[in-house]
Amino acid sequence: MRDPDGFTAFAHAQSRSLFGTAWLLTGDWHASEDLVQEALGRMYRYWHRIDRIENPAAYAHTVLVRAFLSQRRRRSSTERPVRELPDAPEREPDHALRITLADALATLSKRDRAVLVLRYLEDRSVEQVAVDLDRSPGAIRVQSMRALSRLRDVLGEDTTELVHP
Amino acid sequence: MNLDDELAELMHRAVDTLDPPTDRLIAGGVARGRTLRRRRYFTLAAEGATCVLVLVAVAAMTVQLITARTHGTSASAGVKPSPAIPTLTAAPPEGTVAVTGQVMAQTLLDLLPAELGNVRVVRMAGRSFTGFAAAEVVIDDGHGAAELAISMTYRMPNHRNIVSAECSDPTVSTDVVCRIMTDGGFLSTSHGGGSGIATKWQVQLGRTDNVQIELTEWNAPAEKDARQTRPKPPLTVSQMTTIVGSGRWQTHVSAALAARAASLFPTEKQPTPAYTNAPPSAQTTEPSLPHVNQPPSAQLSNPTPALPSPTTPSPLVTLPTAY
Repeated sequence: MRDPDGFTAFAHAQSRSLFGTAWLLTGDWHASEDLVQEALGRMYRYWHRIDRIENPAAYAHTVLVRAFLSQRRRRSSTERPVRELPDAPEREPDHALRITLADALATLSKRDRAVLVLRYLEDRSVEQVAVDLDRSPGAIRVQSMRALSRLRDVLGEDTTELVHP
Repeated sequence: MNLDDELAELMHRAVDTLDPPTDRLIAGGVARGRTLRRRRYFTLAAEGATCVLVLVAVAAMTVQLITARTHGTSASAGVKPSPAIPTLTAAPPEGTVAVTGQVMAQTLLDLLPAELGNVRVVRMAGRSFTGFAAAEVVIDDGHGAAELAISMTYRMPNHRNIVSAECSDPTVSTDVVCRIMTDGGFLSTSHGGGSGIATKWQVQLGRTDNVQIELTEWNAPAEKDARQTRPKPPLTVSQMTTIVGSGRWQTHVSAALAARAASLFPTEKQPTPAYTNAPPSAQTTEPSLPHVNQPPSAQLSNPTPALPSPTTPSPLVTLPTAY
């Protein structure tokens, strides 16, 4: 059996979705790679106890978001996400959507961005996000509404075009 | 438009067609996981005052390599056979104790080439119940200070399986040269990468007794936040391979050796040997280390047991450094 413990299989299965989450958080290709590697590294470290985790895939995404928040705190506060498009071949990529969405998300605080990604990309409940980010559900609701409002303002007229290209 | 209703779809459309370099992500993740684990163990060791099994040392001492060898070896001549490697389920051999951080430091000093000059032991840690022991040293051979880290992982059979899986899967081993040995173990070497400024070279040996020996070196005096002091790390990959292949790396060592190493590298807390059930007299029956007067080259040329030869060509995949 080549991978009896399942880590590489798990990493293969999850790396793409982890990368998507990372990209929305960072808006940067290389920063996303860095973030996914960090999340996988943390999962690897505790992999021998993975049986204790009910949903390893969801847990990995939470680890990634927490790593993102932690990394951003450690780095310079003046650092801003830089939009980069991948060189890798893709399946009908919507570059316009990516650019617009990345620009809009970049105007949010890191924590607002994390809340929106967990709520909307990961489809997590307010209560779950509150647990993941160690905040109260009320705080997450307020943060989510504020972030959505900000995003709506930034996107403006682009929104309709994005939804119905 | 109601963004609350449409945002999920927009996000999915934006990222679903991304095609990340999966192999590089996994290889980088595994490499970071190893580093995190090592750092974690050192942190636990430093904080482990409440645990009697924790052998902790945070020391800063400079010792001459040759001096360390003098004090750390017995008077017997020649290289004696290594003791049998205990299995995970077997009781520790009588008269032995679990390997300590001090023993790791002592053993590394014994195996390093003499020309490396001064060696400063900076950190040591050993936890028998986690099956991990490690030491970090900084050498200064006149060409620039450089850090070396040696670690031994045992009592973690899953780990070996995970790492050895990289050897079997060339799509995972993107930044390492990995070989399956004839005895079923594996040897992986990596050079050219690093998470910080410094260049990191690493050699790992996964033995069939579920023991993994990992030697890492940098071209800087610290893994992170330190400037490069030399173009390359001090040891060649061949030298590193010889060191990790030495039969000196054992999960249980003689109580005499542990005591000697502890005295050479004093700790804030005296080590509490785990699994020791031998009377004091048993210490005199332990296998001896290579003779002190033996030239380092001779020691290095006689690793016991010798590394099995690889059975398969290395699935080397050259990709950019993961991070």
